[in-house]
Amino acid sequence: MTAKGGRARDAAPALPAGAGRRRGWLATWRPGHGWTLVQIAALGWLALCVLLALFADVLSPYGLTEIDLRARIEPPVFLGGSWAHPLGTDDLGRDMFTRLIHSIRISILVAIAGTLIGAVIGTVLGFLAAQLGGIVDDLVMLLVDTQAALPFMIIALMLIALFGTSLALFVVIVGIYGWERYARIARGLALSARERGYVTAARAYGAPPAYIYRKHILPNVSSALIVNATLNFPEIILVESALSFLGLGIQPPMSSLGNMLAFGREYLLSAWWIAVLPGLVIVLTALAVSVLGDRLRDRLDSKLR
Amino acid sequence: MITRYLAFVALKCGRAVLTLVVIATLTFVVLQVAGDPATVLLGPDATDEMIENFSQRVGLDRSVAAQYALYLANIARGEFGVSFLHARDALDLAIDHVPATLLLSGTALLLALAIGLPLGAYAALRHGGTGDMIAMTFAVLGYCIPNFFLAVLLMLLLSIHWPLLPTSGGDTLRHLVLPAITLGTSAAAVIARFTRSALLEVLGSRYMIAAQSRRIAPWRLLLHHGFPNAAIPIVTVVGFMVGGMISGSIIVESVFAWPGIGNLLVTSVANRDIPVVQVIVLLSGATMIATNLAIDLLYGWLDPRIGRGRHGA
Repeated sequence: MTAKGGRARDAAPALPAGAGRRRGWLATWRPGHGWTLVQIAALGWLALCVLLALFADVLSPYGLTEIDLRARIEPPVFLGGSWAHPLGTDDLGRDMFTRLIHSIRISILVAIAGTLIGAVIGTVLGFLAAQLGGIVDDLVMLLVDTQAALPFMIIALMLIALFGTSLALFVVIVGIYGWERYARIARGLALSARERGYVTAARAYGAPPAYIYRKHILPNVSSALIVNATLNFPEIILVESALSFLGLGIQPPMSSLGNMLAFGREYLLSAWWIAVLPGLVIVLTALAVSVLGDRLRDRLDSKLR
Repeated sequence: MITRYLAFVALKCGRAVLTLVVIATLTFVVLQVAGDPATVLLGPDATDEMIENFSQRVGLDRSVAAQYALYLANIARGEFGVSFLHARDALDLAIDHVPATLLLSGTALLLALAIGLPLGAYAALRHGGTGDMIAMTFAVLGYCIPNFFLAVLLMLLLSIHWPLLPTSGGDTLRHLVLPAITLGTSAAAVIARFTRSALLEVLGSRYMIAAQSRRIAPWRLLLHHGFPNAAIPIVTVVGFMVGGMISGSIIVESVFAWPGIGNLLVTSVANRDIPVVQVIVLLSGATMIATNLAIDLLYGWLDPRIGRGRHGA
């Protein structure tokens, strides 16, 4: 890595102006306050999703499991359906819009909980490794390396096979995803922060290690951890929907974007929108989070330097 | 120098074996936590006689340490127990499904390389231009569209709207097309991104500018100076795909009912056929570790500086 970094720095003066930036005109056009059009759209979409998730109970025109067998597989409004069901209905006559906003709620909640779990587990283990050193450090790093060697899907499927598919357990399993990256970052940053003056000073006036980590080191390393969380979040949404899609995650009658998409597969011939609408929501959300994550990364990274 | 390299190889091999043992240990711990091993591993229909045999084999009457030693020994001998869904040896069953996964992942990877490398190179050469933007939009979309949704979209287009290809099964090569495209597209997006950023770093370097000033043809420049120096990140990400092929193909195999090992894993998980799940977990860990090892050794060849100095350790 050092050799590579060194080479890049040597080459820096020779770079043409603007190299290293990877933006087309659409992404660089700035209507104001440094926000690009794409970023505003991403922010708007996420805000919409959060609002829908927050007020799902008020906004949904029908009950989540309300069945209307006379109105089965109605098309959405834009395909000639009626405004009674703006996004159509599924095979049991359940309103698609209602199901979609409840799915968004579940997926967002699971992703938030999962991101927090992974961040806490990883950060605590990373700090412990940095503080205690020795065998604890070796053990944590061994686990980190092992996790990196074993794809997460495999671990998740094994845990689901052994322990079943309860919601609480599923959230924990999804939360494990990506812990090793937090651990690696937290350990590395804590090790370098320990040598800084502010930590030495805190130690000199007798602050206990836990206090130093909470009040001094954590605030100073948090931006790197937040950047990692923005990478982690869309991945967790995708992992959750993939597992639910396979029928091994969120179980009916609860609906998540993944299991809606899976059920929609049965009706691809007659009603493709049942599968495509939740799929579109997944794609747009993952896109929006990664666009905003890019922005956040640019801003926080410049502060890091 | 030779001894240095041998020491590097030995170190890497040692770490690989250690990681495998750690994975086996973790599965042992998880199995212990999951409850009575006889019920977990033999399924609900086990007879008393089977349970008696099983207790003998894994040493249920002995201490946990002895059970652990026996567990590792059984794994080393290739004895993973019997699938209670298929009433066959779990390892044999898993190995029977390997060729289909290899065929699918291999085709998808070739497709991904054939699209990703030229696309990434094109984007790097047209850096900042419209071509770059289009290529990178494709790359971002490929990253954000999950496999299972792309699979559904492809089915809608190529099996239902235009009935060209079958949606499920693995009998003929025509069945291979849709799963291979699905799996290959996201991989192509990742390869294109890595190729682009690796080449951009190389293109800005002094030796490239020197070579340009000698009026070397662009394709020659790219082939002889660009790619060799950009190889390491590209090889890393491709290696990661090869190593992760079992987990990577789980969803696609399951959607298209492709008779590979990922599909076997999903049905085994759904039916709680633990012996098979356990074999596949260890197999996929071994695949990943073996590929990582191969990649590490390949680095030494791609970049002679690695393995000679401190980088190897």
